[in-house]
Amino acid sequence: MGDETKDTSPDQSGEPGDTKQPAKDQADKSHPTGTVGADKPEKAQPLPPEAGSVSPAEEIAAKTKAETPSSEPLKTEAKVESALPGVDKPSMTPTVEGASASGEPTKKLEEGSPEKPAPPRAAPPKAAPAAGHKPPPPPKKGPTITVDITGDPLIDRIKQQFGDAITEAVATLGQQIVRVKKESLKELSSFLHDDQEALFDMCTDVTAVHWPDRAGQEFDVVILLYSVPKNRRLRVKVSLADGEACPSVTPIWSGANWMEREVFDMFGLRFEGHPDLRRILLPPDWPGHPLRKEYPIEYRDNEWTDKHIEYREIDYDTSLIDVKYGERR
Amino acid sequence: MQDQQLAKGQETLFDAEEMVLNMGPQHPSTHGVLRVILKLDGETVVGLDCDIGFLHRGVEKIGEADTYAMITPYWDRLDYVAAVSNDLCYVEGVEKMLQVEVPKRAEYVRVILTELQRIASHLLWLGTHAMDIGAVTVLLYCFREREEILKIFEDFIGARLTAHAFRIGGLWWDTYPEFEPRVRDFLKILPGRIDEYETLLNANRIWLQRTVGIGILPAEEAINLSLTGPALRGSGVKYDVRKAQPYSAYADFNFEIPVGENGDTYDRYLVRMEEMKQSAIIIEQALDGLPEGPVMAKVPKIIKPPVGEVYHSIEGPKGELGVYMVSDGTGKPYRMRIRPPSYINLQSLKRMSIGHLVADVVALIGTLDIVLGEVDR
Repeated sequence: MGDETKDTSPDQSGEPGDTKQPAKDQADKSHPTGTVGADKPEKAQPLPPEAGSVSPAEEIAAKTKAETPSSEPLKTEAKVESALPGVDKPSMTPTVEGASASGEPTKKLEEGSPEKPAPPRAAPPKAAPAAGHKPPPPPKKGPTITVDITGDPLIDRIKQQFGDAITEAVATLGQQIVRVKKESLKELSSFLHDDQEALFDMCTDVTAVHWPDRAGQEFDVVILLYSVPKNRRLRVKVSLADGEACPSVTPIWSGANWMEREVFDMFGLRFEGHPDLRRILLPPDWPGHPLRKEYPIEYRDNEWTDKHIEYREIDYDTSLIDVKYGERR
Repeated sequence: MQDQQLAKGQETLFDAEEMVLNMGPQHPSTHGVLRVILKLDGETVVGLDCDIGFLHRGVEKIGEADTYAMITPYWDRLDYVAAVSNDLCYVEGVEKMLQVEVPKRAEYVRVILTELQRIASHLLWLGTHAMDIGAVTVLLYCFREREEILKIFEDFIGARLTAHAFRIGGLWWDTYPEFEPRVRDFLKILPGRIDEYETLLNANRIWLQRTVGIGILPAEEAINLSLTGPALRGSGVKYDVRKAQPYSAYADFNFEIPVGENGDTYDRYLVRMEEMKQSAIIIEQALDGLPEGPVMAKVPKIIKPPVGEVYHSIEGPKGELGVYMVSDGTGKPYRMRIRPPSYINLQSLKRMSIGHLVADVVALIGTLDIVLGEVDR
């Protein structure tokens, strides 16, 4: 019996197509409203959404590393691309990421560069002259491993459909990452789950990363998706400010239930629409959320222990056990 | 008189409201410190909640404070009955970030050890699962074969349970001279022994009554619940990380992925039995093709992966074991997330148990093959 192999993928691809048709319609209908909200100029411009598009790793690299001439980083960038066999479609032109990291001053990176959403082809020539006084450094230890995704049909479709809501689409070591605005996460997830080209039917993991230095975007919620019929992975990221709630994906992938509970437990991030948001690994009244960076690694919680463990004097009849050896028989 | 008491008890049971029953955390069939809170109507489960975290020790937080090489032993202690598999996941994740190419010989030895560990883990699962349901004999036979594997580990690695086998970039040591003949000897006896277990169980009437039709999960639901490993393949989904996204040297070997049909406890049992046989086939191919050469790649003494992040997953004995790491260019990971298959598989216990009897919950905990060291981390 074990030898018999039954591939269910045809069934699956058939089933969701039938059942999820209304959901897709919904997504289509609700999509314009999402873009309208995102298009609001007063919202989009003063906020630095570009801080989201600069990958956290880049930010750190830019902040921490020493300075060198601007011509060098471009070279290293090219080297990386050729040295990376794992990248699906390595972009031949230096990417927006690479250009901003190599060509623009460090100050600008922190503020967020305005030409971020520009197409990758246009960026390098623009950025190169801008590199006037302070060319930013290449990473000290090994080149950056993050490149933009270009020429991927699915990612292009997502970009087209969600427009400004997608603030970043990069590949690290060939692993694709899409960063989406919080408001559009729900639409994007139902699109990824139902679309016949995407079919991300399994939520591999939900986790979070705490970046205390990123003002206004202290948390990244990372959703790792896998598509059984298409055999492909995708990572969806959402940036959140401290105290903001993330839309829950549990209604779409019920497996995300405990993963989101764990993120709530460890980071204190709430998930809107989660059916049962309770702490899972720690006791319900545990103070603090351990995986936040401000939570100390060596931490002894005496208060909690004192509250829950009562030291009692055990009242027993000592005459029963205090037997003097001489008197025993 | 006894009969009268029973009758009286039954009468009250009929009138009784739903009852809440605590199973665990110190219950022999929960495989550790799992507390299951059951809501019962008579003996039928109508509600279930898992209380976990008794073994929580904050491995992910510890990971942020230790260097990359220091973290590896913590991984041994996650799923402590499959320490070698855990190591492989973490070590390969770091290698992926460093873009280090591991020597072929090291990769082959890794595959041999990992597949031996899979057999050992499945043997432990089979023994305890059968014991939970009432077939104590199987446990003794399973431990006999598991002992052989542990002896091979002990002579190679120096530890039986938390075998710290791998190192970032390769292996600690090359194999010892008797390693190959000993593994081959074990492979010779294994198929006969698996037949023995199957003789004990496959057509055993009690075993069939306790497993067939218990905890049926359709394929779509199993995928939606993020189930992985043999529990998912029992539902007929052909997803195995070794085939889907081959890591280490798995692309070099020919093997089958067994899948079930009905998605019940019996199918998951058959899948695991077949997996043991397939593991033996993989080990045999790896031994035949074991290349000569170094077992350690050139890795810097202080490991500092480039700025970035990586997700790497392997097919552990329990399911997809993954690591998601964010590096900020220093010697310590900025964030290390473990994707524990036991933890994520355990959440489907609620879906599977409702409508079954209390005794079936025991069988279902067994069929999910959880290890609480990994659930709680």
